[in-house]
Amino acid sequence: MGNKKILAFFVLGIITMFLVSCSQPEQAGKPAKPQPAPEMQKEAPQETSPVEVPKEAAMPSQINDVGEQLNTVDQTASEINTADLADVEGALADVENI
Amino acid sequence: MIKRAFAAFVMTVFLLSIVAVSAQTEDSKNTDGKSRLGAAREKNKERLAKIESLDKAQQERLAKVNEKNVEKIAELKKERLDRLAKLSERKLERVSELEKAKLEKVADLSDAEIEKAASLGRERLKMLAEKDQPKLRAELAKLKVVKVKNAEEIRLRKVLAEKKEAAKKEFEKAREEYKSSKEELKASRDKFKQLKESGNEAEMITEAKKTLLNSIDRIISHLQQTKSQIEQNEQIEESRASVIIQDIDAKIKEFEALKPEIEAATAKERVREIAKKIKGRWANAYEKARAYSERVVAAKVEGVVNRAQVLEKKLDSALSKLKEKGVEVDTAEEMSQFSALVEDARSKVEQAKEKLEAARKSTDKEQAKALVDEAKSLIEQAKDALKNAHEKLKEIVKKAGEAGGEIEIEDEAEVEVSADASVAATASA
Repeated sequence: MGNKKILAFFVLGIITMFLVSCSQPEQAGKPAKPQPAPEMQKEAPQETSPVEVPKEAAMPSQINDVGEQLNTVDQTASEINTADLADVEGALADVENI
Repeated sequence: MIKRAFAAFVMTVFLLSIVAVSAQTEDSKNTDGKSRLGAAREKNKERLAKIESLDKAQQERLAKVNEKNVEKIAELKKERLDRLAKLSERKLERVSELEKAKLEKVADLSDAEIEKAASLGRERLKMLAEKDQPKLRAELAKLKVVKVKNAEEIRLRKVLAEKKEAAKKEFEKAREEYKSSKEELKASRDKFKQLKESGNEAEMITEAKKTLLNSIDRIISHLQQTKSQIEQNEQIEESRASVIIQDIDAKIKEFEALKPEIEAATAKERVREIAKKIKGRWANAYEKARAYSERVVAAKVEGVVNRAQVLEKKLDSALSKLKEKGVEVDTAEEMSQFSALVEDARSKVEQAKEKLEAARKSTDKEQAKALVDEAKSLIEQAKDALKNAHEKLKEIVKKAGEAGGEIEIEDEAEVEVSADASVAATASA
């Protein structure tokens, strides 16, 4: 590896460390930096990590349960659907015309 | 060699700095959130400190209310404030979301009534607070506050585990009979039609009788399925469930009684007569059977409504825990929409239940049909509202995730919900 490459990595490392130290929260006793306006506060995370893709939150089981219970309701409704007995009416009509 | 070691050192410094940056970003997010929360509470305290009548403890509790609601609270008269300050943090938060006039109306209630009102879901509380004071009090009198860990504890009756198990087995058995009788009915009906064409009368009568017996089996197994569902459902009051079960049993008996008549028939005129008889009985029983089936579905939907009501309270708790951790996530709008959808579903199920009860009592077939149709449509609307409420829940969890927090709903935590006074005493009052 050439000296120039090593130097480049070294400088990058130093810059990154410098950025970290600059962005540390204020220590007790030190004068606080002025707080950004609320609108800016909202946008702040986008500035620090513009390419960050939000993680898909895992659903708690209790919330999934609601969906499952709704499916169960549909299943029960279909199992005891009285309209499903239309074949009985047809069959009785056939025998009535014997 | 020295050069390589130095290069490795530089690489390590670089990689460590990346790790430090990412860790610091998460920490600072939460630290910022916490400091903002602390600052908001301090500001609230300053506002409330101006009210001389409040003691330190009351100020502390009221200061935890969301910044945008504290102004309304601060404007209340001393007596009203005194009463509201007795509420727990979460109840106070929920009540303080009301518009000022409604908040004042609630604050004018007695301590017990305020507790009851604060245990309601957001939307139901909002709707009740729209009523005048006597009506509001009358509505609250119909409710009771119950402490529950889960929605199963909000039930209109308790069904013993063994009885529930037996009913489930009965249902499975009836389900199998229902399916097999469908196949058998199709086979006998097809054969009957073929024999009618070919002109073999004796064999035709035999198949006609089989068709009638299979028709009866299908009706009975359908009624039996509904009966088993009612027997195991805890969202149907005991008195109502008994009446429905008795009626279903009577109908099953009526159809069973026709079987010996069918078996004894030898002439086609007699078979025709019995077919007419079955048809008449089924036509009379049809709307009642529909009403009973829909009653089961309504009870199941009510179970989901209860689940959603408990979730609203548990979510409130989970979101305030996130807030304490410094994760700020504003879900007020989504929570309000969720609550409105659940309340809509609850109200539709209640209306459906009333219509089904009227259909059960009705002696007019047409009227019963209209009532069951209306109830069925209300139940569908309630299901749709719950499906939308479920989507809102997902949005809330997603929003919390995007803010860097994870919603943790505690299974074992008890929450207070306001339920109809008819709710069985299985939940602790």
